[in-house]
Amino acid sequence: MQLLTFAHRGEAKAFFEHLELEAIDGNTLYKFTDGLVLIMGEGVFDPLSKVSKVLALYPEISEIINLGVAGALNPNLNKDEVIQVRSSYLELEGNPQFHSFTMRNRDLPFKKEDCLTSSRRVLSKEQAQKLLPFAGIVDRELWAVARANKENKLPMTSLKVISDIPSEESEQICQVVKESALKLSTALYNAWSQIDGDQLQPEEKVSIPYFDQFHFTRSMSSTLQKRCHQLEIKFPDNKLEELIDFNSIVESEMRPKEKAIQILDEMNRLINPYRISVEERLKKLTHGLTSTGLTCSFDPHLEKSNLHIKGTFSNPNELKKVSEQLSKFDFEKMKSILEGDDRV
Amino acid sequence: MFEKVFVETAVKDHPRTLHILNKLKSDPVLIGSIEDYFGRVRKPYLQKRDNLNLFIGNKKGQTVKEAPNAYGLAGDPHFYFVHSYNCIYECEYCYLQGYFNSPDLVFFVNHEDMAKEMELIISKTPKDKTPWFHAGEFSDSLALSHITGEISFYFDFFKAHPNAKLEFRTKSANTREIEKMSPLSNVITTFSLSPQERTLKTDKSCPPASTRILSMQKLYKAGHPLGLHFDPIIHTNNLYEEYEQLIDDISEKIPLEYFEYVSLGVVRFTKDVYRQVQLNYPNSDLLTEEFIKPEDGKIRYPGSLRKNILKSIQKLCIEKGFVEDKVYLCMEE
Ligand code: SF4
Repeated sequence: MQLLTFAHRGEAKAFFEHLELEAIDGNTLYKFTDGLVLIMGEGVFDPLSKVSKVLALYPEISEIINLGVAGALNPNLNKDEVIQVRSSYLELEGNPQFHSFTMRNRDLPFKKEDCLTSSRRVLSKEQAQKLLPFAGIVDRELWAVARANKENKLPMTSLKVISDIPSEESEQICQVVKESALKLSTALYNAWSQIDGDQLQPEEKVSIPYFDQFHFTRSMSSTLQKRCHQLEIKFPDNKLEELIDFNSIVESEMRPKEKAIQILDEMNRLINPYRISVEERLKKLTHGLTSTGLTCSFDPHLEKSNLHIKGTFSNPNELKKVSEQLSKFDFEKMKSILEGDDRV
Repeated sequence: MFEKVFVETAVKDHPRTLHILNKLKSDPVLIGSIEDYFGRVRKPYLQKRDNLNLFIGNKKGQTVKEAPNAYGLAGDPHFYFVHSYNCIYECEYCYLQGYFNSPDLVFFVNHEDMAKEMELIISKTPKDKTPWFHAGEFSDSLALSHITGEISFYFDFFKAHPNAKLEFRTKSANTREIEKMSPLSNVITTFSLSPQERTLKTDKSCPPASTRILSMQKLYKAGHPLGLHFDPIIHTNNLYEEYEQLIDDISEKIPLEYFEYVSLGVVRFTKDVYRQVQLNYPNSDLLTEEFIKPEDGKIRYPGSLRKNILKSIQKLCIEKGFVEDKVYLCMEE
């Protein structure tokens, strides 16, 4: 479901005419077939609180579209032109704020510009020139809408229609915008119509063969998802079933959760072949030691050529067995594996 | 190339500014100070693809800085100088991602100030040492040198200071400006190269390795000293074979003993840069590499793999004909 946000009712005029809007909260929130329309007011505070509230009340919102008028800072932009916003910035009382928000990159036939939400009206050419290094257009609310969406991280789009070019006559801008409200709003409505229907792809669910034969816990599922993605990148020409023998895992005697663990292990082996091969060679090398009950471990990052041994001895015989194995241990071989001397 | 060009009022009539503007055929917007704008708001890195701005101004404060360890040949002091910020290319592993909070380019035109600082360092360096100055810590030093126009200035400076060395480091094939100069034994142009397959995958918008080798050949023929950086090396199953091919391609055009030095380094990231790679290139094969993510925040291959890669490529370089003591490893830990 889309949430369409406007600072002023005038900007939404054409939407009121074309969509069958039904009021659901006073004269600020309306419903239509595919979503909600919110009239937020301008500035940072009103939009921030209103959008936050609506997002909390309607978890089914999947996308936010901010629509409205903007002033041109970039002298190459024209009045009545529709702009697709790329990034949203904020300046408060002349101070640019570091945090910015990126809009969804849609394939639309409009010029792209960054938008600076300003706490002041930008009226003069001088003011516009000062702000131009930050953005090509200026508005009064977009950053606040994006900020309200910070936690939800819903995809956002913003379409702006240029209502004014800062100049000496800009003093009467509010009047001009009021008078041209229907024209500007119609431009926004037509622009929005071009994205209407361009639905977001639902997030792809991972699918592996025989999925229902395995039991993946929640955290295992997220590992599965990550590993599937990595395998897709690493082996772009292979299907999963060509890389992993699912049949033999499914047919084994293991419980569904153990089977799932095995799948993840197999994936890990494909993603980390070097580490697995080093671990296997070290395991083989320390077999004599571990057979006497010792536990052998190595630096997990394979940075240091050290061998850590842990063990408990209950009689001289056990100690003798261990020291025999210790004297046989090929330390140089271990060092050459950990120093990367062996060609892998 | 640039959507907008912003020029500090203080340098609006500087000959280098005028040279740049003339080359770009661009009308600038005048601003007070770059620092008031550049990086003040976080501009997404990938916006460099379709909305790159340029700032031209003076570098304030220190312009020449001591280089980190493992920067160049050991034994001599190494420095880098800050003549520019950011780059037109887009290597997936680039550490400039997110570094300045803006991908916009900055050209500093006060090279005379940089030269003054270099002069001071040269005068303080013991006679038995050679101070090295590296261009390109925060940018590619040649990619836009036909626009920035400072190359001849540095050739003049280093001609007058034969006991110091200058390195221009590049991933470009843009050697036009160097070709115009008479070679100097203390001005070395170095190329960062990876095997062709890797370049195509990861060094987005950089010229292919084969084109860079042809540019190297032009400089070789003109007698300019050359260096090589096989850095970052990214592990593959055919790593050895791919580097063998790359070295063969180079040696077809330039005798390997001609190179002043070859540095070898393995791909590595700070935590922040790695996060940027995840964000900017979620489908990059760099994200499937066998990296360790230790507490120190330096994301890299496990020690044993790192050493394995470096030793095998070092051995290969020597076997193929590079001078042994000129092949050095960037073993930064
Ligand atoms: S050439 Fe160097 S500076 Fe430019 S993007 Fe690549 S790594 Fe970064």
